[in-house]
Amino acid sequence: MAARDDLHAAYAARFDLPAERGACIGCITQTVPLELVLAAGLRPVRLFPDPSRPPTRGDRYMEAEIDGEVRSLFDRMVAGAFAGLPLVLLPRMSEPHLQLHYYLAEVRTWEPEADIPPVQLVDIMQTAFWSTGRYVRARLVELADRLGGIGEPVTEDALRAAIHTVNRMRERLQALNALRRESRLKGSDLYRATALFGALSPGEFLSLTEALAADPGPKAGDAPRLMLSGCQQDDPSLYELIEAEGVHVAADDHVTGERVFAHLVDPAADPYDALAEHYQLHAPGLRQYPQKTLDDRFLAICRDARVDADLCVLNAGDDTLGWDWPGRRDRLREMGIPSRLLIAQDDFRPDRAAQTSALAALLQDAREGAA
Amino acid sequence: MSVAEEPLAVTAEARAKQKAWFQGFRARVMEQGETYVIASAVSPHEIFHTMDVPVVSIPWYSAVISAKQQSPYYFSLMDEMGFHDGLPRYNTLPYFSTVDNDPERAPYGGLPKPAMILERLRSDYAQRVAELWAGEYGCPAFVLDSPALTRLRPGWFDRAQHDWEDLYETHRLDFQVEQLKALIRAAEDATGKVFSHTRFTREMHNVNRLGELIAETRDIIARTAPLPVPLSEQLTNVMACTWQRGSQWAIDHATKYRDEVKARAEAGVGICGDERVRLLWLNNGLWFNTGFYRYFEESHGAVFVWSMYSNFLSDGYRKYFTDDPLRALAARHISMNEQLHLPGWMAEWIVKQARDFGAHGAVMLTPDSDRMASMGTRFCKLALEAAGIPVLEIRASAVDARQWDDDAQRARVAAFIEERVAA
Repeated sequence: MAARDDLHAAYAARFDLPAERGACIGCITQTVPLELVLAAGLRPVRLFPDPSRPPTRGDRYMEAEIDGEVRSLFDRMVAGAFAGLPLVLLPRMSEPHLQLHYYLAEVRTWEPEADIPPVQLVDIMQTAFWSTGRYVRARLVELADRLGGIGEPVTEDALRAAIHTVNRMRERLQALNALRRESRLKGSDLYRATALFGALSPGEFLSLTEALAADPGPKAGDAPRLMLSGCQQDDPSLYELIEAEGVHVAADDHVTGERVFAHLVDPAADPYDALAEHYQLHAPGLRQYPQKTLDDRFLAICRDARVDADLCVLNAGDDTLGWDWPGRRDRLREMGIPSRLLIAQDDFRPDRAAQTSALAALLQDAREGAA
Repeated sequence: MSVAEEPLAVTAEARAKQKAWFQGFRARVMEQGETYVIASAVSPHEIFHTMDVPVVSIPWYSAVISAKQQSPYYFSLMDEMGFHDGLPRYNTLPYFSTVDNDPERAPYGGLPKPAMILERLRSDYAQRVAELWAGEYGCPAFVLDSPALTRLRPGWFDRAQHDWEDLYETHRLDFQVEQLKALIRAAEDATGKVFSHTRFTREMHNVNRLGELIAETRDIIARTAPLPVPLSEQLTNVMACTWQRGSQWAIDHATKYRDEVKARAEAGVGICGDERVRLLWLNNGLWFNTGFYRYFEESHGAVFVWSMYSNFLSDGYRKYFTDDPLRALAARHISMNEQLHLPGWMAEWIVKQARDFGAHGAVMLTPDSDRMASMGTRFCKLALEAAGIPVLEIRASAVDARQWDDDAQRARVAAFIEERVAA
């Protein structure tokens, strides 16, 4: 159990930034190109939202319709929680993240005393077009130049080495996911490990995940197997609620789940081409297009993970993922897998009773379907 | 002064034009089997105008559905299909009219299969709806991606006409031009028609001339009290010109619109006999109840003088160019929504309008289930109030008449005028 304890301790310490931040690069989400940060000799530190604290100062400027993760990060930024970082990288994995870039620019004029570090949007677009790929590649080259000005100039050798390192980190998570599929690792623990991707140094991360793979904890047995889909989860509390009901989260499909590590960067290609293709086509984001590709992948995971049911949970501001659910529900039904939709979950005060109730109803659907 | 008893003559002409356009559309598309395109409002219709391919604008058809009181039915259908009620509704009504496939119910008999559906990707959902919709028709969806601005230079409305290369950033325009070239090729393939460079250049110049006429009219309206033309008629005339932009008809109509407004202004003819309060209407229009804009004239001497539709055609569409009309077209659309909704850009433009139009207050419609339209509103409200313009925020659907409580909203605006504007 020591590995799990270490995992939980590392996750609990996720808000603690190093005292000396001059060589640290703040990373918003797990889709920051860590390879470039490492190749510049810098230390990525993930900046987490805090769903336990509803925003106060930031909500004077930012509408409640925007996702809780973004509102929380904006609030923490304005409050100076990330002061001292030489740069924060903000990938454009959704429209709210893009808006965060603009809101942070504007709030500096309203609160000039706020100690907000420089923020660079990483304008990764995700349409599957050649011109988009070239655009993304040019942005990554620009980013490498900027990071090189803070740390060391990014060389091809250093970048290839960083790609190798980050791929190893992804492979480690893939191995943990295989254990989860076999019910030998809890979904909540894989969530924690995934959240630490980009939060710990590569050495710490590889060490922690290696130990966890060797000692993943008690087997879940023959518990019902669930796919958790929908909006991103900002902490493992929903996983834990589901597990407390005796259900194993065998798979997930949201942007902070297993999609984070599902794809590796091609180590043999030109490194910038490889990175551009990876982040354009494979990094988890709400702007990936076409949707059919994502839906097909989701259904394949449901089949391969042998899930009994799908619970799709959406937050209160959702204007996006709700478009996917009816089609997915219908296709799952053809596979004999029931799906339920739970909407309007408050990012800071989720309705745990509604979640428990939806889960119970879904399990009943699954039992009736199996009977 | 005297009070205008009748609408502007050009307003009836604008309505007639839109009706005739749709009748022509039906004849060409439904009876003669010509191709057409469904496109978002902020996409480059100019490419299809140049190819003589009819374009149905998504918000236009959505507004028609709403105005004909059909939105409740389609929203019920949306619920039945499992699309949750928090999803955006403003631009998605036409999709559900296609799914419903009932020509007796759909306005004008519904939209037949288009050659393609064109969408610009602002938000994370537009591509999803376009994909679903195209799947329903069995036609291609063409999406234009939207590169981000690295910085927002102040005063976009002063720079956007001539200084657009710097304002919108070269690397973004390079990308947008590549997308437009791909779109032209796809449009030629899908419609079998040819893109004419000479016609395109002429139409691009025409849009600039059209914008100048709208700007002249805006200036007349802004400086004239009493207000010579109600907001609802501003919208009818300017939007008809927007949908018909590039054509000679639009220039001729905008000329007549300007002249008629100018004549009223010079004669001291206003729409409200006792004008005391001038208000802005912010954000989406209230399409299912445009009469709301005139509720407060008799009771409070309050007129709505401006909405973003009044002069975005002049401030946002004009892009002067010397030798590259395609790059100018790229500039026109690359930040179109952003100018209306990004904090900073939205706020500074609207504060300027408030000053130009002598506004005493503003009513802001923040649509439910449309978070894209909510973005930037808090900064805008703060900026207006810092400039001494009180703001009332109304939260409601812009298209779902089921959720609109007319008496309650009327009372809220009345109280706002009495307690915060006129006080």
